[in-house]
Amino acid sequence: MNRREFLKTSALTAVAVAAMSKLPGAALSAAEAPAAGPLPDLVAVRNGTPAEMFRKGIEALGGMKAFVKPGQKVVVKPNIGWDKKPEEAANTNPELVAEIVRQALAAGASEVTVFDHTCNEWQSCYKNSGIAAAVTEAGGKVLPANLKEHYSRVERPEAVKMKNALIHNAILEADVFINVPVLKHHGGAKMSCAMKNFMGLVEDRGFMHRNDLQQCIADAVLYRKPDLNVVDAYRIVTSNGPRGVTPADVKTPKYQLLSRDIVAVDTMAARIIGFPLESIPHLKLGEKLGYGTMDTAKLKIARIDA
Amino acid sequence: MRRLPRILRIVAAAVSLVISLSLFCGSGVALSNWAAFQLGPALARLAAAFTFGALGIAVLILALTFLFGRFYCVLLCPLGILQDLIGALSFRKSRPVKNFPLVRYWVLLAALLALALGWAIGWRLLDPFSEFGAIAGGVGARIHTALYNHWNPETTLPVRPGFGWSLAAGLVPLAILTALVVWKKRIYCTAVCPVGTLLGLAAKSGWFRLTLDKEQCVKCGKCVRSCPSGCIALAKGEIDNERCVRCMNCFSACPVGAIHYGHPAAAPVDMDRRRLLIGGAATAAVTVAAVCGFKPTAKQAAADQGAVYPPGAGSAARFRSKCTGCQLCVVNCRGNVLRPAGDGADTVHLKFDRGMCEFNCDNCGRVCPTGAIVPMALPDKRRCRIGLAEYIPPLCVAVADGTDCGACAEHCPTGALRMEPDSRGIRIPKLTSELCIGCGSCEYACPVRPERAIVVRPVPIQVRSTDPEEYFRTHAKPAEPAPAGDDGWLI
Repeated sequence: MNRREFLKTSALTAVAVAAMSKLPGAALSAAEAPAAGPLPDLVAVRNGTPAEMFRKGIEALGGMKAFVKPGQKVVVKPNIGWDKKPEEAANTNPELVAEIVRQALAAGASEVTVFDHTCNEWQSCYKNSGIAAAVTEAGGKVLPANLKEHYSRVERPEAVKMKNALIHNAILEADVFINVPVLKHHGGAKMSCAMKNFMGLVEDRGFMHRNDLQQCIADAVLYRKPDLNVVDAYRIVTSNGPRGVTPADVKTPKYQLLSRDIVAVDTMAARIIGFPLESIPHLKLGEKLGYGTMDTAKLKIARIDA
Repeated sequence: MRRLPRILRIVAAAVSLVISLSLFCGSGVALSNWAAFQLGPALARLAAAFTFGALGIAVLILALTFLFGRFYCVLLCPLGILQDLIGALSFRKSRPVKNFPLVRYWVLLAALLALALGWAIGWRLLDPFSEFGAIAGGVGARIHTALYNHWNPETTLPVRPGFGWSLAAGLVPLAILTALVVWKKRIYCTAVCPVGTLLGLAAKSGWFRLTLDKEQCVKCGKCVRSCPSGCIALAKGEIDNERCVRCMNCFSACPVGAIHYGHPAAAPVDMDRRRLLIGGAATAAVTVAAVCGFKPTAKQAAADQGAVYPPGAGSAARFRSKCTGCQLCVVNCRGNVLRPAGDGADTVHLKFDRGMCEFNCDNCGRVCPTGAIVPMALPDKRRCRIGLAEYIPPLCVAVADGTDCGACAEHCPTGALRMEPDSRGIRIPKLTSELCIGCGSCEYACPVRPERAIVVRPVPIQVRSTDPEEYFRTHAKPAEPAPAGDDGWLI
């Protein structure tokens, strides 16, 4: 860590600590934070545990209070798609999900719910991913997403292919939506990350697969723009994704990305996993729908070693 | 004090029935050892997948029955306890029932021959545990699921399909059983049940017996009216210990204490040996002829060829000859893919319209009480090929529309399906059959309707698939993450 980085991180940390303190008006001053200059658009953290990296990353973005106001309902949407253990990296890291739940509650959230529309039998996924236990211990609540009655019909005329969809009620009811994908290779979409994670909000995934998957992934984000995206790239499946078949499919780069911009965060994620951007068409389609940018050179990016 | 044995029997039977019902209501794996102590399934296991454990259990049950009588029928057999329950609810008094020794011996012989010769249907229709399974799995489990899901909306149990058929498969035996009980209480147990007959043979000249002391007896008939087996002949002052299920009702009912339980001196009455031999020979001949003559029709044979059987079934022929259709696997299937007989196959089979055979689940082999599904360690089950995927390119979204899909490859647990670019650069499924285990993940996930672009075809015999780790070590190199920049950051 060089001196400039050290100073920058210290300043950000100081602001964040102020923000976390119980002084009246602390959150306000952090959100405006003129002294430290504008907050970064995207934060990349590396070389820590998933929970450590999140603590550093969210500090750099102004602390959890910049995202969660007291009394708000928060929904955290990890990837819990598979009946796989944490070290198999097919699901979001449970420690990371738990840390987000804890911080959201500490910031005053009235409740924090966690769910995913799983691919394998849902109770095995919730249990064996370690996420159900971690979330419950952190004070959050896991919700089922296995029945049609957990979803409501929503219309988005501006979507290109998926103009209406059944979307999980927790997403529709929440004040704050934190999207927490795990970065993975994906046979169909090429890469599974923040945008692809939206397939877990949708009841009829078959429709998306049938009707131009890449466009439908881009369309899905229109149903509820996330307030924060946290990409878990601590362990990643780099081949035979999204499930992974053998231990050789899993790599451990120990990264984490945080941003409000879902296209930008996925663009950076593609660089971590080493896939050409043009092989992941939903990035460009998302940019075209106007909710994010692939031009990461124009973004203010903070790089932090945890 | 004379009432105590009956009260203890009722309490123990109630606990036992609840445990047996739990087997079919989501606790099959946790309680699989309970099912192992069912004599009918243990006998079936001797024929299907011999283990010394099953032999030990059968010998133990028969030995205890020789020593103490048919307590098994009132304490362990869920169908027997269910009959006592129906009998109590019917409020009808018991009457003496005619003894049908030859009927039950011939039924026992026919059932054992059917089992030995591999005609599981013959055994299935007579075995009390399989009948209880049809009732508990088809009716009880459905009621339990509906109530559970009503009260626990956040942890719902899977709803099993095939409502009408499976409900009928449970309701019909329940109706027949109820009619028999209302008519003559446990007549099924004393005239038909092959397990009961076997136990009766062990108990007939057993060590401890129930006897009626003619000197003390006042002929009030209270014992006769309380006896569900109808095995007390008051005029002769005899209790038929072969049919007696040791409910202890008579012992408790007798106002003068004329009924004794202990080791008696008198010898039991002998059977008419000639009639027994002739009848037995005739039954054997008829059963062998029935089994040998049982040839599936062309339609049935086609249906069997079209079915995928659970991992450990071996082959269609083996499985059909061993499965008694008790439904324990069906109601404990995590992926909700196991279906009872009917729906295109005449025994338990898999359908992938509601899920896939879950890669990390081996419940069916663990709960199967008869060994028809040979239990396998999870790593072996994960490589047991129960079917083989067939990819139909013209139907595939990726081929037809030129858009990405990958639902099949996404769900494939073994890497048998991977997406690879075709000549146009479109990622289409590539099937490596040697890795395929036929789990149906691809068929379930395929979004194409009405005909799916990838379907699991049955295999003639279940074999071991190639080890994915071995395969990918030699055939494919996993992609490396992008090289780090000058400052060590990937991005």
